[in-house]
Formats: sequence, C-alpha cells, structure tokens
Amino acid sequence: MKIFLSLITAFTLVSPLVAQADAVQPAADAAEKGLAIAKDRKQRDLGWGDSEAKMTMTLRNSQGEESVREMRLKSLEVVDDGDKGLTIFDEPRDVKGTAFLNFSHTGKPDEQWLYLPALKRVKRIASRNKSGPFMGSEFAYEDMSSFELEKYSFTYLREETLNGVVCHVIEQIPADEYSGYTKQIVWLDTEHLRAQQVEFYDRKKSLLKTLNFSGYKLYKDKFWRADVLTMVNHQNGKSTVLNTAELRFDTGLTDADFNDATLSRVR
Amino acid sequence: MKRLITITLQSSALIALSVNASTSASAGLMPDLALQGAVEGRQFLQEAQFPQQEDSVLSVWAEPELVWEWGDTQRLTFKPFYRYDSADDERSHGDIRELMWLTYGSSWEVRAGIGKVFWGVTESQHLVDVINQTDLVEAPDGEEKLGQPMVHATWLHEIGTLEAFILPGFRERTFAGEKGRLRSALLVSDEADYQAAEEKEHVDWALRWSRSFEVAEAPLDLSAAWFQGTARDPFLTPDITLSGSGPQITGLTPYYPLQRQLGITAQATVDAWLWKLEVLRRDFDDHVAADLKTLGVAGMKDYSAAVGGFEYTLVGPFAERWDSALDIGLLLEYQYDQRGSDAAMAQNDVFAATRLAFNDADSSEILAGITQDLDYSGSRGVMLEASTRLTDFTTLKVNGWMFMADDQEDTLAYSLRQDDYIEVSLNIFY
Repeated sequence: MKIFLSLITAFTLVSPLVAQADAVQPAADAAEKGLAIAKDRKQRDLGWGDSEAKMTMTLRNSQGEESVREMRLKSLEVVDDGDKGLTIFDEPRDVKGTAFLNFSHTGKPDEQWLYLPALKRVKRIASRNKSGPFMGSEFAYEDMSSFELEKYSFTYLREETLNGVVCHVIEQIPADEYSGYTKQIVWLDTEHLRAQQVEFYDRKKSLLKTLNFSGYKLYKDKFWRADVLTMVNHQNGKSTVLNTAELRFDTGLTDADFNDATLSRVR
Repeated sequence: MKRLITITLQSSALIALSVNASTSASAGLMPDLALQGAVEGRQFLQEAQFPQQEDSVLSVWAEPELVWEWGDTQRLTFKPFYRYDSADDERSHGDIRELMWLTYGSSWEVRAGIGKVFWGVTESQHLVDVINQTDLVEAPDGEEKLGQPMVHATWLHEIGTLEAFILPGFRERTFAGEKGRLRSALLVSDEADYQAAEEKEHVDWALRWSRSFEVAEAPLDLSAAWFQGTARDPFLTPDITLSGSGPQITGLTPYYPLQRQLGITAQATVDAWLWKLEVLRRDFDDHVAADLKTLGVAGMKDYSAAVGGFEYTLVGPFAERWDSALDIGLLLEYQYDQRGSDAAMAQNDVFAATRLAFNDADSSEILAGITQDLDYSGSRGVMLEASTRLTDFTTLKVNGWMFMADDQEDTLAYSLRQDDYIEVSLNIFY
C-alpha cells in the first residue's frame, strides 16, 4: 500500500528556491539542478510517518471494458532506506485476503512477499520482477516502489505550462539495469512541487505510458497527496485509474505490522 | 448401504456446523462472512483398473468463512468445509478447516483452535511441512490439508522468529474409497493402528526457528524445525485373512508410528533466481521396525530426504516484440529419499516445470510440469494447472494429471498408471 502512496509522494517534492533560479541556470548545470530539485522534493516529504488508505483500481482495456480491484494500503516511512508497504486485496473476490508486502531499498533490490491465504503460505518474490505489471494493471511494480534519490540520475529540462500550471520538467533515468524504463519525464508544479504528469519510456526509448495526477489534498499541513492517478498505456490502448477513497496518517503502524513472519494474520 | 450411512452421518455433521455458526452469530457480534465453493467435473481418460470405479465424476464443495473481531487484536475464524462427490463415498467428506482464536501484540502472536500451518519453500514436494495431515482424497498432489487442533505461539525475537506448537488430537489421512480412482488395488481401512498408547489423543509438539540473513546483498531465508509426535505419513500394513485357498491380503490398515523429525529449509533470492532447499531427518523408536515387520511391512528405518532446486523468472521476455506482459517461470527441483523406491515415490526424481503468468486483467496462469523417476525410466507424472478469472466472483480452473509407469516394481507409481484425468472446475466466491 505504501507503494502507491510512495508513488504519490515521489512526485510532490520540488523546491521554490530552485524555481527562482531557473532563468539564470546554464544548461551545463542541468544535472546538478535536476538533482537539487529531487533532493528538495525528497526533503519536503520527510516525516510523513505512516498512513492507511483504501484504494480502487479500475482497469480499462482498449475496447473500454472495465474490471475493478479494491485494496487497502498501509505505509510506513523508513529513515535512511526505502519505505515499507503492505497491500491487502478485497476485490475481486478470488484474491480477497491476498497480501503483498514490499520493502523498498536504496542500495539494493527491493524485497517483496506475497501471502496466499488458501495455502497459508508466504512466498518471497524474486527481486527482478520490478518491470512486471501489478495485478494486471498498467502500473508496474517499480511504479509503486518508494521514491529514492539513489534510484535515478536527474536532468533538469525546462519550465513548461501544463494544463495551466507552471511546471519544472525533469528527466529521471533509472539506475537499476532491470528497470522496464530507459527514462521518465516528470512535470512538477513550481508552486507546490507536486507531480502533475509523468511520461515513461520503454527499453526501445519509445513513449510507453503517461501518468496524470489530480485531486491534490494537503495532509498534516505539509504533505500533498493526489486522489486520482490515471495511467494510460499508449502502446496497447489500456489504462488504469487509481482512486484513493480514504487516506489517514498517524494510524499507529509500526515495523511489526510489516513483517513477513506475521503476514499470515493480515486481513 | 454403507454409502447411505456415510451420507447421513456427514449431513448431520454439516447441520451441527451450521447450528454452531448461527448460535455464534446470534451472540451479539455479526461476523464477516465470505463463501467459496466450486463445481468440478473430472474425466478419467483411461479404463479403470477396478470394476467399481467410475470414469466421470461430478463433485461440489463449499467453504464458508466467518470472522469475528474484538478490538484490534483479537479474532475468531471459523471455516468449515464440505465436499460431495458423485462417485466416491470417501471423497464426500466434511472438515473444520479452521476454528481459530488469534490474539497478538507487537512482538508475539498466540493462536488456539483448529487451523493450518505451512512450512517450506520448494514447489514439487512439501517435505518438511508436518503440522497438518494431508486430505489426500482432495487432490493427488497432497496440497490440501485437514484442520489440525493446536496451540501456536509466535515470538519475534532478535535471533529470529520463534514458534512453539502443542498439537493435541491427531487427524488420520483420507484415502479413496472403493469407487474412487487414484488408489491402489487394496482399499485402505478407516480403522488405523498407532504406536502411541493414547492413539489419536497423543499430544504432539513442535518448535521452529526462522530468520532472514543478508549475504552479498541477497536475502537468505533459513528455518529449522523440530517435530515430535505421531507421524503424518502412515505405513500401510496388509490385512491378512485366511480363506480356503490360503492366506489372502484383503485390504490395508494405516499404521502411525511416533517420529522425531528435524526439518531445515533454505532459500536464497538472487535477482531473478530463487534457490530452494528442504532437508529432512526422521527417526523412529528402535522397536518400530520390528513391530512393522510383524505387521507385514519390511525395511522400515530412520531416514533422510531432501528436495532442492531453483525457480528462475523471465520477466516480460516478449514485452518488446509482441507487447505481451507474459512472465515465464522455469522450475527445476531434484528429489531424494534415502529409503529408495520401496518406501518413497520421490526417491530419485527430477521435477521440471514452467509457470506462465499472463499478467492480464483476468490473472490468467498456467503451471505445467513433469516429474521423472531416474530409477524407473518409465515412471513419470505430468501435471497441468491453468486458471483464469471469468467475472468478479467466478474463476475457471483446469487441472490435469498423467501418470505413467511400466514397471510393477515401482509399486506406488504403477498403481496410478490408469488414472490420468482432466478436471474442469468453476469456482465461485461471495
């Protein structure tokens, strides 16, 4: 669950100081500026602690046929490493009770476990499957891992107005050779540094997907989170809409709630 | 006649279960209710070995789940199960899969009641998995289990996760009846013999330690478990009757000795590789081998067994060329059992399989595999499991098994050689 939240937080953190400096930055400093914005963005989202949310994921194929997944997401911020997330599925009914535990890491591959309630079995998932689709959706596992500076190299591209909002446009190149992407282009509004849009480019460097964020709300007077994430796949015509129904912070989650040894009691 | 009685008994058991459920529900707290069930058709592809057996079987099962929760840290789960089978009286059966009370704190859990516990990492065989008895009439792979009475305490400690089990009450393995397929020529009796004087009332226990380590930035999961009590795997002793033409074997009686078992598992996760190993050591009391010999089973001894191998996942190999999200898993495992082919089916066998995960909206998957006996080149089993979602509350499954054996000396495999089948199952969830 943290996964989705992390995705949202990942794109919300850019600094106004950097924005003011835009006009005078020489092009050669693009990498430095890109990293500075990313650092600031990460810095601004520190301290969110823990959260719980209910989410609905609507999958649409190119014929417009829909199928809906419902899940609950629990997230825990981890200082000096990637965050922890637990996704519990409620719909469709055949996967009800299935739980997905994810530890994002900064210097090594993420760790993932799946709990299968029918077998009472906790299975570790091989760490290289990050480019695979999450629950048949247009979101890949790596789209849902927490945003960490070590996972990308950054380049500041330009300032641009997107849907009437002035944005920084930054290129992120994944450091992991097993990423499904060659690059991501991120639009962050200059006012609050919230992600407005992300473009994902596949291994052939073609545009694969576009992610749009809408319905931003402010939590704890500090943390912006989007209610609706829409991922459109340009190559297969499918799309996935992720709606956050309830999002609460400081729900008292601890490390013990994110443990493969206690995953079997999750419901 | 016997069949009628069985059905009557099972029906009354079912009624008892539903009475329990409604009583509890009316105690003031409404439970969360979920219901799973299926309609299954099994078609056997070869002529039956025995005259009473049928080729086409229709079967229906239901498994409701009721959950009551008090506050954040207390829960009661009740999950009865019942199957009706059109051919086999023994396969028409009910069980309490779960009736478990759970409470927990930040570093501990206590469970008491009836439930299921899974131990292990490998796919082709669950060697160290010993807490629950196998509900063998459910499926030949032995993956379905009977509910086991237990008190199960878990403690999350610095040295790893520590678990203790007290297991009062033994469950006997289920075996196919006269009209059922997937059985030996001789029927297995409902009356079992035990080494323990307390028979089914013997209290077994187990301890387990498990922990994850990090070796060269790759996770290494280790576990060790000790089990002491009545063996889950019975020895089948011949029933000998004297007739006019001399002594005849008329059936088999399960004999459950006491055993001490050490089980160790290891799993390393490296990139797209999962390396897996399960090792088992089982010891019996010295006199058990002699006792079994007088019952007609020779060669029983302490033994070791192991199963190990890997699962390698190709992530999206066709993603770029054909825009396919298909993942391909390749599984290879080797099975060893010190007792050899007299006592074990997986004594020197190789399991190879592929798992196709289509990653589509319907979560379609296919697992197809073959187990080849290296001692008997003509003995092998081929399995296929495919599933896809039809609607938000129904899934379709197709399971198939083919058993090949041409050598009568490989007795266990040979008895299944005419029982290839395809099973189509419509699963319903509410």
